[in-house]
Amino acid sequence: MRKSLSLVLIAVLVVVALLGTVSCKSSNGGIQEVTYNLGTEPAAIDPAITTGIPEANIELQVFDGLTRIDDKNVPQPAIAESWTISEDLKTYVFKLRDAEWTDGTPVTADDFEYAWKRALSPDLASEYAYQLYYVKGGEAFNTSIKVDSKYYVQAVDAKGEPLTKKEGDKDVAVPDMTKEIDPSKDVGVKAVDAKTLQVDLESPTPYFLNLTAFPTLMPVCKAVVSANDKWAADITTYVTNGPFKLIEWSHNEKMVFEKNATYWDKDKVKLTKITYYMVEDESTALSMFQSGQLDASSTVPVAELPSLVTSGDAQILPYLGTYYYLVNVTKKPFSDVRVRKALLLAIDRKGIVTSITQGGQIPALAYVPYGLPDALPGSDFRKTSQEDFYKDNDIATAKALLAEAGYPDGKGFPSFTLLYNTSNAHKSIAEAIQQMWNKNLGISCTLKSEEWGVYMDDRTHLNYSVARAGWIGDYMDPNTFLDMWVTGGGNNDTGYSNKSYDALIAKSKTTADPAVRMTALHDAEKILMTDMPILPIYYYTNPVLLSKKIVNFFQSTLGFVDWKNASMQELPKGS
Amino acid sequence: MATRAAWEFKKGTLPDAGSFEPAPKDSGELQQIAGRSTTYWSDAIRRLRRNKLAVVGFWIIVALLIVAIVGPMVSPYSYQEQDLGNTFQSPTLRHPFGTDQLGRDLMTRVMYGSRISLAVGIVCAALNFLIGVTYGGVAAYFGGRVDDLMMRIVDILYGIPTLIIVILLTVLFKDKGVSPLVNVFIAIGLTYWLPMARIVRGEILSLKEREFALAAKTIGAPNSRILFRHLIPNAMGPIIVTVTLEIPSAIFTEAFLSYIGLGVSAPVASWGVLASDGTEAIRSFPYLVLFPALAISLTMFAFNFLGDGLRDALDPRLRQ
Amino acid sequence: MPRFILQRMLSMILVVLIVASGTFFMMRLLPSGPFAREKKLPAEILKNLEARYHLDDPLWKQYVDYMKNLLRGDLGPSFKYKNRTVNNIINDGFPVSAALGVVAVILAVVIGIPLGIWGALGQNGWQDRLVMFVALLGVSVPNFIMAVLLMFVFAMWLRVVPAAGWGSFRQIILPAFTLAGYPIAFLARLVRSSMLEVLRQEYITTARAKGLSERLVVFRHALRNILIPVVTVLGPLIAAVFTGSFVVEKIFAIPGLGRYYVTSINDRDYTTILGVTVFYSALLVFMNFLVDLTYAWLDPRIRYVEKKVS
Repeated sequence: MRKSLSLVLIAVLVVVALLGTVSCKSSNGGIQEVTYNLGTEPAAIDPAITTGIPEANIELQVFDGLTRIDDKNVPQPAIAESWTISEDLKTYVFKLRDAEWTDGTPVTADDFEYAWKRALSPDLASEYAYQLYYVKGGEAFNTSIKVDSKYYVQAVDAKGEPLTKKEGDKDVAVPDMTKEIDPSKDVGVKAVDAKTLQVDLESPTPYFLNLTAFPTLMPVCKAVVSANDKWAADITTYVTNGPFKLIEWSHNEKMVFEKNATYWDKDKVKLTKITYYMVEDESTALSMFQSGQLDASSTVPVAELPSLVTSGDAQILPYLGTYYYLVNVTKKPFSDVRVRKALLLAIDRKGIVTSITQGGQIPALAYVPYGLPDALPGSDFRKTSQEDFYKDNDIATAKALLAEAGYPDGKGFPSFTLLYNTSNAHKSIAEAIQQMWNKNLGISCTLKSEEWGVYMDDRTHLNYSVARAGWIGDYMDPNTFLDMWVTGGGNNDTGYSNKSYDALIAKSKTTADPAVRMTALHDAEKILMTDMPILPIYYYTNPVLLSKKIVNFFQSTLGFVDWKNASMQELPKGS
Repeated sequence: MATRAAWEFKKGTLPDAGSFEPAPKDSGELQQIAGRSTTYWSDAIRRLRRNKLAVVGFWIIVALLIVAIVGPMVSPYSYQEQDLGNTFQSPTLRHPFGTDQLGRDLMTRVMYGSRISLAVGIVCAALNFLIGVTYGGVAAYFGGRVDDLMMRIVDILYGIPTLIIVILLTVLFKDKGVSPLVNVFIAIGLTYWLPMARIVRGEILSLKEREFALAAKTIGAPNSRILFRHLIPNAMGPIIVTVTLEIPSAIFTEAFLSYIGLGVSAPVASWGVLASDGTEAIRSFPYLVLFPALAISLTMFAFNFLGDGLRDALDPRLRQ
Repeated sequence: MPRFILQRMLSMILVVLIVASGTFFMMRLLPSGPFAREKKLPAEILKNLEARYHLDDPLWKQYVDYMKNLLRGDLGPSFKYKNRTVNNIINDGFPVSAALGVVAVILAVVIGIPLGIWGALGQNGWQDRLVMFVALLGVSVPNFIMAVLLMFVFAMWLRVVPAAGWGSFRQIILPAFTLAGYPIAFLARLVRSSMLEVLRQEYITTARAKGLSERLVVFRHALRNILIPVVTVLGPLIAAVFTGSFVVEKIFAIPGLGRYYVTSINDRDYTTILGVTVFYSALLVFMNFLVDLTYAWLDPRIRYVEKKVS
């Protein structure tokens, strides 16, 4: 007994001795170095195939596209020094400046042409290829069938349906051998010479210059990439042209970037080193921030937000997105618009954003959030149109509508399920709304949490009554929020269909006049708000942890972080 | 089966040479069983009753059960009544455990949650006991190929990721109207007993070669009797420890299952769910985790005292 | 014995193959797939993706192709991490999880077993009660709470270790203790309980009567006999430490394999699910085999091959 006791004591002493040695290091040794929590391991760092924001936040630091979005959300010249746009808004000619890849070779228009066609090639199967469908022939090429090394359009049968045949047990598409697609001729991007790039679009796209700042449209080094398809898997072959260079990647742990000495705009870049961590737990990220291991974090624990904002450690930045509930309009009684509106009006949004989400979110009294440009420069889409299509927590009207629909005080209203994907945040909001509907309308529903895959499957197959959803904008144009609700749209999980709505959206895609276009979009939103297949709840915000040492931190309303112009300052003692 | 010796010293007397009498040859008296005949079970219960800690444990569990049933009925609040103006309140007289992120009274929710957690704990302990002990015992007893096959099945069940099975169950049970707790029991029942089976198997493999087991076999006792009357009671020590120590993991497994939609739906919450929810706010509002965790710990202590007492009571080597 | 080992090897391989096959078909039954996004992909792009990853082949063919590759040791490309192979993911993640797991197991054995012995020797005394209390706490406090508490006390308040991360020795301490919490408690209770039983046996009384020191009695005679339940428990415990480290790895931001075990299922990253499952299953099966061999060594009466009774 003595022996085991002394063994234990020795063990304890050893542990204490070890712990008592050094205190933990702070995050930056030098001055212009920053550590940031990316929040997750990136799925890949090849700009042609990634879709997520964490991946974009890596690619934006190491690549430079034709344009770069500044802190006013306006695209500025980057690799493209200048450009001309044709009268019909369908042809862009970019003049490129002198710039280098990190392997010393010059960045040419060939690299852009190669990169865009690569992103569109069916073999690469890029998920974001549809960002390039604006380019003429882009969609045709992406959907073509490869036979040997040539591409053909899929054949159609007598009725015009795509033709397939059975090969073994597989359904294989049949190519139409008379209709070849030659990427070198039929896709509207061409390197006229080493420093000139010509782009032909399918139709006028006012936000095209925003798109050219996106990772999908960034150049890749043709010489390197065409020879090695694993070029983005290893940092020694990862050739880039942006403000920073990736010098270390430890999977699931961290990435280290250093300033790119050959970047064309290197004088603007003040940071010498950026370290990205991949801490998935928000609480841990906060602990690391508070103990000095992190200077900034993309994730913040919600419960701590109010106190963190007060102390100045967290900032609430605008985010282009809406949180709403989907309603299955094909299912009774939700097919009745009065029922949907009753559900909509009985929600106390102010209560939710103040007490539950606590992140400075804005109650949504329409669908398209603030922060999108309208026809006139400097105008806001939301503000130009009605800001509120209905009142928040309008219980009287809700009750009246429900009674009109045949369910006074909720009598006879069938019990239904409110679906959400697994998350404590969604759960709290759903619990609150469940109570609101019960108390205010006499309607009872059960909450159902489902694992992500099961949830998406149910939503897609209209296997729900009311379901939680959220939409973040892809680009700075109201279209990103509105074109999803067309009849049969891939992202229209409600079963909603309105021909007038479809017509207005189609019109907005073909007109060159910005004023006409915006009017069409406004009218479309009005129809949506009349039919109300969705129940908007709030507009998102994006809270970040930010050390006071960081200057000029920029995160766009789409969630993209750009460290190009950021720097660090010393804090006076005691702050 | 223990019999007292046919003779015993009377208190205060010693045999001396003269008073020695030969023992009666009447076989009836010789064969008479002098002690009170007890069965294994009544002896066990008697010993259990005498164990103070076990009794304490037992009454704590009874008290918890009473609170579970009666508590939410007497509370002035309902477990789901929200008050968005009063969220995250620290414990006060009005709300002895404080309020949660939706302003609900935590004490009522803890009491309500005890229904689920106690049910989960007890049922899972029983499942663990019945399935795990029997499976492991049978495998070890028959040994050889039977053991190999049964243990390989355990290995296979261990290997297949439980999360996949659980998600499949959520799809299977969707809209079928099966009570959420039954879902939980099925999900847990499929994998929870595996460690117990292995532990029991290990014990029985060793015990079955012991003299008492060989003796029972020699006199022709049937297999089931040897296994259930002799071998398993001798393995009660590790069995009881395992059953009681695995109860919290059942509680937290249920919390996880509810989280991904297989168990209870919000706003119904078990202790495990309350503890998990509270962890997000643990820095600023630690009481949200503290009270459910205390409830779990208290239950654990009670089950452990009771379990220890059971172990002592059921262990044949401790018979008096 | 060698025949037993050979038979066992074969059945182990069979088990792993069955687990792989079972998991393959079960995971394909799950709704949704690896390319489901909140922003749904256009149908043509989905088609391109499925062609690239051979998901448009008939299911039986995908299964056969996968098993053929499996037998060659090629676990395929990850569907989520587009430029990584599953072999690569395991090679990067497993050493980290293993290091953490090994430290946790060592802690569990080095602390748990002596603690249990200490408690048993002072039966019902204050040390016994203390051991009971500590053990019950270790078991009823879930690891995510334990992790947060330890992080708060040692990293934020006392500032003796960094809060999270991996790379330095000091960063192993908190996660290892968190992982070891449940095993320590379990082992302590089990050892105490088994020790109490063993100490009541006649051969212990005999040893004491022979005049052996208490230390010899405990360590030479008693310990060996309690090791069977301990070793049995160690098997599943070690397995749990390696696979159940998901929560601990997430909270302490450790780049191990544990997180893939859960996230790959949610992502429907089929190859990663299978790769990690097969890997862990092989590990587990091997651990159990070692445990069984240890039994035979600890208790010579245990036989695995049926004796023919003539």
